[in-house]
Amino acid sequence: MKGREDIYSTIEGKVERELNGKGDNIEKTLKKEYLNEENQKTPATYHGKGLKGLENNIVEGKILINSQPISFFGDFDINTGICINPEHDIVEMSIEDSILVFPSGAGSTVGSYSIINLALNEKAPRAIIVNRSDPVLLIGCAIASIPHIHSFDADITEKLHSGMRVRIECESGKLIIL
Amino acid sequence: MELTDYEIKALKGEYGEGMALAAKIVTNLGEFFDAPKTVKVSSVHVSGVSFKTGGLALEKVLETLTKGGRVKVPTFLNPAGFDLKRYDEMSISHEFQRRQLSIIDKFLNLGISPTMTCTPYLNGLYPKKGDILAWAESSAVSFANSVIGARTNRESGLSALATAILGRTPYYGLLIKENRVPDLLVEVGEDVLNYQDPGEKLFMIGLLIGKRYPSSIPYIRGIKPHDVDLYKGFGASMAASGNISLYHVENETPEANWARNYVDGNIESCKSSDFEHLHIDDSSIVELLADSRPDRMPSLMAVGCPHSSIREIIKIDRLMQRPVKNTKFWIFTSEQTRILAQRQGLVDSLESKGVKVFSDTCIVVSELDNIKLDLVVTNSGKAFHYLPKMGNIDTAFFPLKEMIQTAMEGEL
Repeated sequence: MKGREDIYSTIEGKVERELNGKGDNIEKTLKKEYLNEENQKTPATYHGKGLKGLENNIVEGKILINSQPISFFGDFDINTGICINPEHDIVEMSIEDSILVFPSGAGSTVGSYSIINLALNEKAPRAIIVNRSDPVLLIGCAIASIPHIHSFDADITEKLHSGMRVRIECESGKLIIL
Repeated sequence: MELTDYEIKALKGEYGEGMALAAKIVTNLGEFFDAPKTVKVSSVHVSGVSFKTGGLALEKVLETLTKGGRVKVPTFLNPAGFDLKRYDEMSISHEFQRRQLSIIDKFLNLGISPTMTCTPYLNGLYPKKGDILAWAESSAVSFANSVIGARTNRESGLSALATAILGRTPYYGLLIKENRVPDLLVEVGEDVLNYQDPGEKLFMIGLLIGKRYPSSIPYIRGIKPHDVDLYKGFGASMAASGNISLYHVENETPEANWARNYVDGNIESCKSSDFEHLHIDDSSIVELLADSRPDRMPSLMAVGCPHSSIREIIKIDRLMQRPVKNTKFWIFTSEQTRILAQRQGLVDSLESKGVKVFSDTCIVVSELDNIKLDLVVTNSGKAFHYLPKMGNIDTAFFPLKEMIQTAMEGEL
């Protein structure tokens, strides 16, 4: 299956060829690529390892990216879901209902409880997506039933940006850009 | 990971919601660590008992696990947020008391023994060499792996709890013999332990090793801890300043002779040049001890991290010949050991000299927010490492004899 990256590189190749050649019709070529039926059927998908056996295995939502590692113990107000760590990109923002993306977990092992407490207060993210997971994140998400995917085939924080709409299929470890 | 029929049924909810949750946690951890299978455990030690760290989440998890879940093997509990009989003396709020007691009740409903101690091995949970365990509490993990030769990974409170309910743990990490090979050679100079109270020097050596090589498996040459209490404090120090869950002491610990083959280069796949080397001489330890001394009279002196053994309580009572002056002196131990000390007349003797003997809790996990502490002095490497990080408590280190001398004199 073609990923979005492949589509882009195909387009770039075309553009280059067009530029080296006649130098026109660029827009038309781009449009043609996008409208190409086959490409439309294959939205970009990233593959990782997902938690198994969650009830809410498939969720959709908007990406919220934090480029620093996150410690759930201490980084959020568990009553409001707002990030209180001034070192973070998402400081003062709420993680409620987001698809939260960050490189890895950090800090104390009681972070699992903080994830569960956020969920009990209905302020948890809809999914937690990381490059590198650890038992604190795994157990917190397993208990709170939050879809959690890690160990992707690419650096996921580089491939996504805040605001993108995605679908998470946790059981099979898929993140699909919508 | 290959699942047993039992685990598949548990995951499907055939044994109830509690077992399903436990199986979900254990199997997901196994997948994460690429474990080929799960194995039976012979005992579990659960940490994270305090309401302070667990909050509502801990209450809810325990409630869910109780639905059809009960521990399958002997399971002990780590210290709680306060002494269950003497909370008033620790200035614990009524709300905190209520929530903490409710949590302990829920642990009891799961069939867990309410030991509230970090030293299960001193209080009835003593595995044999080679046993597979799921213990949380870093100091107990270190003791079980290193001093007993049992095998456990460093579990979190929740992974230990789930393992106790399922009775099985993923087979990975320190459960596998090949992963117990040392990767650091520590040579302690001959002069270092030639000292009137070698115990406290040993704890400083532990802190130093943990700090320099936090995720190592050290093979240590040149020390000979002469009782179990020294091992207890030494391992706790390394596990606190680093993540050291296993160490070998030459000619002393159960797997040391096996480990030595690797250090000496007798194993073909392993050259001694693969090892990191750390040499510890007397001057570095003396310097550490000097830097850690108190500079003023402390408001609290705390002993028993990890929990004091009966031998340590006897020693303190013998050394404490006059009442404590100008400070508080608290000993933390398990309720079992406290009862023994009480029967022996030690608790009365110590309390008549102003010393308090608390059980069920410890200086690191107790809720001390309501007590004004200017400076805490301890003879524990672990407490010395953790207290400054928790609630910004100013902390100094003093060997036990000097601590008791200072307490009796009432001045530094």
